Amino acid sequence: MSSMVNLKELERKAWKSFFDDGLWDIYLGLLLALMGISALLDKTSLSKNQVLAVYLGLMLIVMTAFWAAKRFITVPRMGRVKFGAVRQKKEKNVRLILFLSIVVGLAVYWFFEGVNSGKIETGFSLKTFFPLLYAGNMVLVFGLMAYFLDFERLYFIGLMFALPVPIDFWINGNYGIDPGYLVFLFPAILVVGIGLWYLIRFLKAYPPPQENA
Amino acid sequence: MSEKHVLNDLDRLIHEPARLMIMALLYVLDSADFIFLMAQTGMTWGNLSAHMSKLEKAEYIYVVKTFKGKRPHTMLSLTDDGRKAFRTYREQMLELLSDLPE
Repeated sequence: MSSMVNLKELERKAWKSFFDDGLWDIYLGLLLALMGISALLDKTSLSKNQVLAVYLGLMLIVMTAFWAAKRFITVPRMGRVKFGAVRQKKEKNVRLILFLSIVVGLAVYWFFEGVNSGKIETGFSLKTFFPLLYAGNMVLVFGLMAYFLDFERLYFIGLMFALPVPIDFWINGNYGIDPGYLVFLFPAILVVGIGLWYLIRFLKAYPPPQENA
Repeated sequence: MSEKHVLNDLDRLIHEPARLMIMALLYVLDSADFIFLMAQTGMTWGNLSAHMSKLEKAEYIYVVKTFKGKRPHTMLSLTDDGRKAFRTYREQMLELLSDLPE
């Protein structure tokens, strides 16, 4: 029934308008850049814990900046809205996916730490297994988030998150060069650039309302 | 039901395009504020305010006025009557348009 489709489209358009500000792209692009910075810091004299502390500190700054930008740039121009039960259920699914991906990520991290320290023995090549597992996890998590959030650019961002580690392993394995932070930096610049383009377009399309509404 | 009868029964308060847009948006959303509706409908503050008053008077929408800091904040949602009226309007329009020849 055409009117059903139109009402659905109306709701979908309203929902998707919240991604028009490009802030999610910028936020995720900066998180990707942080992974590059972390790889860069690994090569300095800083200890693992110091690198982790710097990484978490920068992540907190990026998260705060994202929250502030949504609060002071998007909301005054776009307003506030509460979506219906179906959309709220989809949002819950995304939170569950993120939670599970963190649990899986931590389990994988501990597993590889165990392998690296010799506590766990494996019968397979870590250099093949790890990049595939990492890329698969990224594609799956971002793909599911893109699907449930109706946010198509997340498929591309997921790919940008998935590729750096396999590329790093491939270049290192075939040419003996360690590209390090560069494999994260290039996709990060691309994702942030796309986000900035959307943000500029958003600022032009949605000037702050003059009246007290 | 004849086409004439359906046309006469149409809720003219909802039938006006700007109000139809507001009602349709609030039908698919739980609630939205004034700025969100302005952004989605492309209406000016005054225009939206005038339509909002008419819908509020008919008790089709529920308006909550609060303050976010020092700024007034207006949140709108459909009342049960408004939801029912929109559903009826939609059914009537579907019936009317589906009966039209190609």
